[in-house]
Amino acid sequence: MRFSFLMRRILEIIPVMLVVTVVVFTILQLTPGDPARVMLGDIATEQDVESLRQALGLDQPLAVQYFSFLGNILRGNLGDSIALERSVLQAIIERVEPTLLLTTMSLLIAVVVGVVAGVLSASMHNRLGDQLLSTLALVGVSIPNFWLGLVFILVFAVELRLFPAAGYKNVSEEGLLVTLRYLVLPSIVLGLSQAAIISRITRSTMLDVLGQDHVRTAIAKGLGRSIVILRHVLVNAFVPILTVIGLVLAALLSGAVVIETVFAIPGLGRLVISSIARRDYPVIQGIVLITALVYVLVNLVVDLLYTVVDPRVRY
Amino acid sequence: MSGVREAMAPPTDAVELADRRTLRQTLARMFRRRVVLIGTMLFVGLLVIAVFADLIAPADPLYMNVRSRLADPSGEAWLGTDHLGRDVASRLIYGARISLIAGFGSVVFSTVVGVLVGLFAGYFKTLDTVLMRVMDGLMSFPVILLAVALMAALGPTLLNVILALSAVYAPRTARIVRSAVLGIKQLPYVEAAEALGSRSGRILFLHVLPNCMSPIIVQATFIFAYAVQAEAALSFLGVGVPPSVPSWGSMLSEARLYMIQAPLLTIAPGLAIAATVLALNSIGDGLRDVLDPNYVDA
Repeated sequence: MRFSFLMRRILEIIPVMLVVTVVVFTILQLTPGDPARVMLGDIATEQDVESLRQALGLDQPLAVQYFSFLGNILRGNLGDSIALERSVLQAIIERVEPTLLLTTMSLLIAVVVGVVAGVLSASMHNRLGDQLLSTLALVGVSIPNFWLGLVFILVFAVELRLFPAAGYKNVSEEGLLVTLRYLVLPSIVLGLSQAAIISRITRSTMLDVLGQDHVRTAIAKGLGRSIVILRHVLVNAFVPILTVIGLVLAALLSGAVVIETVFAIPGLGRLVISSIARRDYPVIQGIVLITALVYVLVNLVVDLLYTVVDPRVRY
Repeated sequence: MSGVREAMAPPTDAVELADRRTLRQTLARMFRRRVVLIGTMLFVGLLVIAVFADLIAPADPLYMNVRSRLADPSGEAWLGTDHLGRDVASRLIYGARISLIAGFGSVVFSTVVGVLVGLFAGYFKTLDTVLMRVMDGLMSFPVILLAVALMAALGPTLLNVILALSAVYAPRTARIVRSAVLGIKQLPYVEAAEALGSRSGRILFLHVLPNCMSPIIVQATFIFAYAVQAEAALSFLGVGVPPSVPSWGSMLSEARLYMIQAPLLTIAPGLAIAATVLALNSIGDGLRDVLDPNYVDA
């Protein structure tokens, strides 16, 4: 990987993140009427509203507001929560653990299940098993994950009593194992919806590679089918799969908002939803901003990984 | 002039080929897979239910009969009643209307905006970088999170759901249109039109746009599917349509509390959402088979 490419790719993030900050800034401006009044509600006195307006700089011209917003972000200052009596950054840090664990576990499940299903599907191309798995994948992308979550709670928690129905324990409270038990159902639900997408891509790229000369040679040499698939096909199908993983992460972060609500997990997603009820816009803005930043950085890493996974890719 | 017109006619291309096949061949290709046929029939059924909800629904979806709360299914209430004694079947039927309006509205708005941005970005080099960086920025947010944040600002109405989802999906359409335009503007007939001095707007909308229609139609179908699912998610989270409106998502969020006493309340709206999204996804797959000969998913 050349240094100039690395630099260019890193510099490309700047305009994208600038747009992100403009969008996040706009969220507050889109509220109908006076944002300070909206946040404090009808019972607040005009004096309180005025002091909040000043504290947030809402009395300044729009451009000045934006640049001070941007300046604060660059200094790592995401502002203060209206309702939680702490800084937005602190509120985020307190709630980040469950979301981080949930999305990581879901990503693992999605990749493992998706790649295995895709490989099976492709190696049984056009036979019954393939058609079954493809239909299952179509059904999988169509089922809303929050509904699947509710059904899972009914079946695995209420009826079978295998896992807790909802809630969460921090790792520091009762150890990692207890925490993971709480996350099993939500991670499976969130992971499965994305596994369907990964399996579709894996299947079509595998079929693509299966038709190539080097695979035919390997089969002609008399290598076993599973060795050909593992050593010659899957390895070459990795780049498209890697791309999808970048996209899947965004979907998982989206899904976490919904799944955390279904399973009552006190993560960032739930914090966003409860902040909406409290009209705590700084917290909403902070979480949206941080999530976008994470997503942009992950995609940067994915891009850079291409060169590692596929030596043919040169920038 | 007519000779020039003919010379400027688009060359054989996906759309042209599709036109030239007989309608029967095209339909046979589209419905080659049984799931596409089933999906299409399902969607037509849903459309009929949504349009004629007033005639089909056995009861007023908003009428609360507190004396028969959480009632079991019966001849009167086909799927029973919810925690406020409202008829579940009727709410599902009216919910179809909300889902389809939200989905269709998002498709229209996001496609119009996405196509315009994509056309301009693809055709005018000077606009490309700026427009596409803005689109990249918008696409850096997880879909539901951005939609939730926009709804937090705009407030819960059906129109705002449509606007928020359009803002989320328009960049995706823009990106697809742009890459189609980049290919098409190299073609000789576009060059010919430029050489003849046609105005850019005329070239874009008369010569370039008609040849981007295949990917736009396929993308619009998938956006329809995503938007139905996203509307349900937003309403489930309580930031979608107002609670008084019978929406499948808000029905699910209310049913959650009575999941154990009345599981049907949870199961029915979920199946409705899944069926609608499945129908749209399979129609999208079928359309892609017909319209996009380059797409390989053997």
